[in-house]
Amino acid sequence: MKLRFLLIMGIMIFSVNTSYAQKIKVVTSTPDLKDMVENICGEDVEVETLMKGPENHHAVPLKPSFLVKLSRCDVLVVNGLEYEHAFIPGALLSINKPNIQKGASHYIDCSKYIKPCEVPSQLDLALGDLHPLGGSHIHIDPGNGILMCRVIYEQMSSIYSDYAEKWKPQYENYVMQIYAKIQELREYVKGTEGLKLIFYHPGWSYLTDRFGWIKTSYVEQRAGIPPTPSHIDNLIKIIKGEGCRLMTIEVCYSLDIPKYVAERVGNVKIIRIPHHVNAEPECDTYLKFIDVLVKRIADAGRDIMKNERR
Amino acid sequence: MESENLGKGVFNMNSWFKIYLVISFILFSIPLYAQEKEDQQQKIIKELQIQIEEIRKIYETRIAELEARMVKLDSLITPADSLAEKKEAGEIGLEDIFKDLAPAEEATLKSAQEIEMQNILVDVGQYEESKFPWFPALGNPFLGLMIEVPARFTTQKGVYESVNQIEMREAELNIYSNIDPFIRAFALISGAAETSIEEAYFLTASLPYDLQIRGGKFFANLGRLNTVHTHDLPFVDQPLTMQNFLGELCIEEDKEVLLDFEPQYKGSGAEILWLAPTSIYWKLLVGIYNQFTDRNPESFYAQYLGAPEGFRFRNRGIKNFGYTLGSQLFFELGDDHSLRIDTYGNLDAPNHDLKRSIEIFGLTYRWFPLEYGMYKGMEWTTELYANQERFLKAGTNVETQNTWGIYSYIDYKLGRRFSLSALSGWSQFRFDRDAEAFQFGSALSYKPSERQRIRAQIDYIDKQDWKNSVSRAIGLPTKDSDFWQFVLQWTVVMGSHTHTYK
Repeated sequence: MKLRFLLIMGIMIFSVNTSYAQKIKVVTSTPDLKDMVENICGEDVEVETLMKGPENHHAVPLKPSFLVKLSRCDVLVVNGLEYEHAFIPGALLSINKPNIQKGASHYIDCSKYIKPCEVPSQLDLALGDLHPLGGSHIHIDPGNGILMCRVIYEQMSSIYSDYAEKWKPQYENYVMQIYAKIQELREYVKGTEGLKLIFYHPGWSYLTDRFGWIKTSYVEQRAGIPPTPSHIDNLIKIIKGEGCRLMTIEVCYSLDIPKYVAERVGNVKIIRIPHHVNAEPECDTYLKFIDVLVKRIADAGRDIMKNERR
Repeated sequence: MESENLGKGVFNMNSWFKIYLVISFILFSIPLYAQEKEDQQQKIIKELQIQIEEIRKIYETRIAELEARMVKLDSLITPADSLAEKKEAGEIGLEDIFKDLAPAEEATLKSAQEIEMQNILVDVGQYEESKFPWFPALGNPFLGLMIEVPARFTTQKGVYESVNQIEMREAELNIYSNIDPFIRAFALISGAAETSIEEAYFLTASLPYDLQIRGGKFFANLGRLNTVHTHDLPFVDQPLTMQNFLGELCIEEDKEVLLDFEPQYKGSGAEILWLAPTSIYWKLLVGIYNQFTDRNPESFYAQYLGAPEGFRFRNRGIKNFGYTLGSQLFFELGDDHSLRIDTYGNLDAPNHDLKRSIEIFGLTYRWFPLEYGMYKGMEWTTELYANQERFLKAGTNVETQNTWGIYSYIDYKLGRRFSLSALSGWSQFRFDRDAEAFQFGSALSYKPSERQRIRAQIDYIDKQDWKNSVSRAIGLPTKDSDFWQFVLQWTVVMGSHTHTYK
């Protein structure tokens, strides 16, 4: 009898302990969101990301391991605006998890407060089909990053209301860190205002608008449509006409066409830029990613402007 | 006269006096006017001074505000810990930050309307997969149409010349929708000359313990490629080995046998799928189907090889259904490499003399470099088939025949638009172990966009032994012939086309 009682008590104590020790399992689509969730929710969450960082989000293969992670998670945090079209919709259709399906209670869409840039004037597959709701690369602007954190905090606090008070100072502190980074970078980029830039894949207006640069054109013809010879010719004319001297190419895209264009135009510099947290070794947090991204462009721009003055 | 003059002189004096008075008045009044003007100017100056003072005060206040704000903003560049302290001291709040990010704050209001619009779209059934968010019909399913046009040219010599042809092999209508929170439904209607329902099934969406059940007619989970639709293969046709063991043999005969296959196994029945609670992907499945492949009354199996008395092709009862057990294991070998191991066993009519069993073992290795996944990648798959089957050969008793087959392919991504694949296979004929077929080939695929693909493929195919085996069974002459085949294939996809993991 005593033994049975002890066993029952033991099981009860064990189960109570494990329930307290259990962390909230969060899966994020991108490493940037993982860093944000970890900063906001701290030790109460265990976060896994589906994308690793160097990948191109349009070409992420739907791996079975994604299904395992999604099946085991409590909350799914996504970038939104169809950013994850290559792997999230198919993965969600493949699993048994009603509460993390799009629009469900534990599906957090971080684009909620974002005004999309580069929204197509009409929805037509002839215009490219990868950004039908506008530029989905919202995380490249730290201002957007703050709004994404706001969604994460609000939604997570709504789902786990017991943690809301605990997470609030962490959230506020993190937002302030991002904001401080914006101020620092605003100061850093002074003198490069009006810098004309060519990116590879559409969607970079968020960054150029924030820091006073000018997005001149893109190497890709349209989002997801590789450049055709006529588009490349046109791009060369635009670069020559606009006097653009800097091509900033995301690390996940090939340099072959940018190099060809640069050779044809002459006097054009090409730099590699990270497009996500962990896209490069030194970008292991969102703050570091933003720092490296903006400073690299500003430094290259300053050099070009200095040479032009000479 | 004198008085007139005097009178004139007096008049003159008066006139001068008047003039003097006027001039005196003017001279006297000038300083008065000047004084008055000076007073007015003084007044204006005072007013201006007052205005300047007011403006100065306003600007000084504004400057003071801006300076104070600047000091606060400057202080933000200091480490976050001290910022947190200042936050606690009430010097700066999140609202200040949101206000400072004015464009973003403005966006918040605008996007609020867009979110409302998004919610409406979701409510009317438009999910992320849909490319037609303006589609207005409430509750309509997602629709996609795939069109596939191959042009075949072969060196095959025979009485039939139809082997060289351009055809629309398939127009495939994909339909899928969430039915309610508990199930989803999928249908695939395809055809060219004739239309048939390839798949129509439901799939549960909310069972506990990672269990899923699907029921209806569907490409069964049996082998690596059986669930893959033809247009998604890395080559034009399914491997001969797979067609032999999972497909349905179709025969046309006149002066010679034309041998073709319905290449995949479409099961009518149900599957229970379970994602095991392990850290790796391990899916286990149990399937139960009415019958397996071509064991039906119209098939070659029934017509030429016969069946024992009492064997029922359909409505056989639960003891003699087709049953499948399967396992799909997936290992990530680092960020860029993965390995998938597929194992399946199927037993058809297990309690009958004509029982058939098939075992399939497959290995798939994938290499997708994280950084250049858009430009490089490779998949190598090899699958081994073993088949044990009992059937009546004409005039003989029931005998068990063991047959084998294997195929292997590599699909290599050459760049963003191009991929190159190579396929090779060998198999004993399911109905005659002495008849063997062999194939090898290579295909170059070009994808101008995500929604169309042009492919050129060349194959060497030697399946004459199989044909001869059938010819012998039905009393037609045999011959010796292998051939080369060149295929140009154009595939386009219209509308919604989301793939689940297969």
